[in-house]
Amino acid sequence: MALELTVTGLSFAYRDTEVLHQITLPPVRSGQVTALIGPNAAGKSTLLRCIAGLHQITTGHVRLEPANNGRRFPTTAGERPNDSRPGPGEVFYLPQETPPASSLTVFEAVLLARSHGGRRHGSSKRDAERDTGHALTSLDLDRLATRPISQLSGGQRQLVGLAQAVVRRPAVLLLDEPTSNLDLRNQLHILTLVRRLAADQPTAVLATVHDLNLTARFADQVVVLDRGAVYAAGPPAAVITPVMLREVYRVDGQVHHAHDEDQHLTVTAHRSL
Amino acid sequence: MGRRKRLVLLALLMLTVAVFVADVMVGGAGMGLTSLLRALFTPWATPAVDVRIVWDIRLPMSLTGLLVGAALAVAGAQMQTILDNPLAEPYTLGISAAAGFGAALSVVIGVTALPLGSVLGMAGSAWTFAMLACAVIVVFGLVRQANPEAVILLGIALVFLFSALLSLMQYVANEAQLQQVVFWTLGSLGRAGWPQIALLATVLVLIVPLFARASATMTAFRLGDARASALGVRVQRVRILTLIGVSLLAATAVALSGTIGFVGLVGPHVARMLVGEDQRHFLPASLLCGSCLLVAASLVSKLLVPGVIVPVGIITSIVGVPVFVLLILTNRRRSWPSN
Repeated sequence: MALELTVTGLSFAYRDTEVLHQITLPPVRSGQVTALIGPNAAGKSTLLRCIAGLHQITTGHVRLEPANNGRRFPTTAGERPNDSRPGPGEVFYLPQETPPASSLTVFEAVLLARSHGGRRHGSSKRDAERDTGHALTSLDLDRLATRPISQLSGGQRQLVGLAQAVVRRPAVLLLDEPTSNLDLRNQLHILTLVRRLAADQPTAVLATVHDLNLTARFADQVVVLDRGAVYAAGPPAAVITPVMLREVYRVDGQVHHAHDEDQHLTVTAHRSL
Repeated sequence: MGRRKRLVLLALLMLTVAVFVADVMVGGAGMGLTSLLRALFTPWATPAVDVRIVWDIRLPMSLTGLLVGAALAVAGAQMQTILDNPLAEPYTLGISAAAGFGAALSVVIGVTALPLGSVLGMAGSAWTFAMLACAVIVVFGLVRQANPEAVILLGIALVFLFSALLSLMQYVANEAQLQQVVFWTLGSLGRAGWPQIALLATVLVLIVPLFARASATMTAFRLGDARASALGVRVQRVRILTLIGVSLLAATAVALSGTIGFVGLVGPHVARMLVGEDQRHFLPASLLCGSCLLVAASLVSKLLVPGVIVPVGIITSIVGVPVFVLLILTNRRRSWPSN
C-alpha cells in the first residue's frame, strides 16, 4: 500500500531556543525521493530527528497515512489527532555519522537492524538471517559480510547503513547527508541506490543533501529549509533558482537548465554575498 | 561464521571445565584422584578429613574463582559496551577501590563504629561501599543524561578518593589491622563460604540472563548512540539499567574476593578477539574467559610456591599481563579499533 508522510506545523525548541518553526512539508510519498536542502544550521538534521521521534516536538503532527491523491482522509468525530502517527519501526533514520569502527561484522550489523525493533521484529532466526543475506546481496555487500566494520571504507560503511534500511523495510527512510565524506563516484552510487530503494521497497525517502546538482538530479521534490522554517518546496527546477541561492545560501549564483529529458540543472556559485 | 564462533565457545567451555577440575585436584594436601572423587561423590564412605578438604576448602575456592571471574568479566564487558570505552571495568570505575575502603573501615574502625559492623563483617562492609560507589555513578549518570565520558571521569575520580581513604585507614591502623587490610586488598578466593558463593551465584543467575535477552540492544551500542537510538534503543535508559546490573555483579564479586584487577578488563578483550562484538557470542565468551582466567590464576597460585597459596590478585596480573600482551601482538584483528 502506498503511504505518505505528512508533517504539519511542526515546531521544536532546544530548551528556550526555537530551532524549527511551524514546518509543514508537502506529502513525502512512498516511491519518491524528497530532498531537504538548506545552509548549515538551517535545522535539516533536527527536522529528520524530530520526524524519527528522537526529539520531543513542541507543536505539530507527523503522520503516516495511505496516499489518497491529495484528498483529505475522512476523520471521524472521536479520532485523536495523533492516530496516524508512524508506528515503531515504520520510520528508519540513518544518522550522518557513519557507524564507528567497531569489530562488529557487516553481517552482524545488518542482522541487528533486522532483529531489533523493526516492523518484522519477532520472526524466526532463519528468516532474519536469510533476509540479511538478501539485503547484502542486493547491495553487492555479500563479499564483505564477514569483515569488521572497522576495515571498511567510508563508502562501504554508508552502504552498510543502506543495507540496514533494506533489511528493515521501513515505510519512511530518513537519510541525513548520505553522501557526506564520499568521493564523486560513491556519491552517485549511493544516490542511485537510494532511488532504487525508494522505488523497489517502496519507501518514502526524505534525505538531506548538500550538493545542489545532485539534488536536482536525484530528487522528485525539494524542500528548502532556511533558519528553521520552510523557504520553498516543489520540483527541483522550480525551487533551485538564483533568487533562492541569493536569499537562502547568500551566494551569487547561476542555474543552467540542460535541455535533455532528465531536466538536469547545473548550479554555479560565483561569490558569497 | 556463526558456526566457527559456536565452536570457539564450546572450546572455551571445555577449557574452563578442564582448568576447574585441575584447580579442584591441586591443593596443599597431596590427595590422589581416587580419594578426591570418593570425597566428591560418596562423602559418607570417605575419611572425614578428605571430605572436609574437598567440600570446605577446595570446592568453595574453585567455585569462587569461577563465579568471581565470570561476574567481573561480564561486568567489564557491559561497561565497555555501554560506555564505549575499552578501559572501563569495575576496577577503573572505582568499585573495587570503594570495596577495599569498606573492608578496611570495618577492620580499623570496626564493630563499634558501625552499628551493623558485626553482622556485615569485612565482606558486608566492602559490598556496602562498592554499592555506594555504584549508586554515586548511577545517580550522576541520571543527572548528566548518562554521558559516557562524564561517567568514566567520575569513576576515575572515585578510584582516587577511595584509594586515599584506604591509605588513611592503613595509616591509622595498628599492626594487626594493617595486616588484615593489606591481605584483603590483595584479593583471595579462600574467604568465601557456601552462603556467599550461593549469593554470588544467585546474582549471576538473575542478571546474566537479562543481559542475554537484551543482547541485540547491547550490540546496537557498538553502532554508536545515534544509530542505536535510530534502531529503537532507548540509549540513556539502557545505559542506566545496565550500570545498575553491572554494579550488583561487580560489588558482590569484589566483596567476596577482595581486589582482583585485570580479569574484568582482559576477559572481555580476549573474548572480543576470539568472537567479535556481537553479544550473542561476546557475552558468553566474556563470561567463560573471565572464569577460565581466574581459575587458571588460582591454579598457578597454588603451584607457584609449594605449600603456599599466593594471593590470587597478585597472580592474575603477573601471569596474565604477558599472555595478554602476546595476544595483542599476535592478533591481526584489532579488538578495539579506532577510526
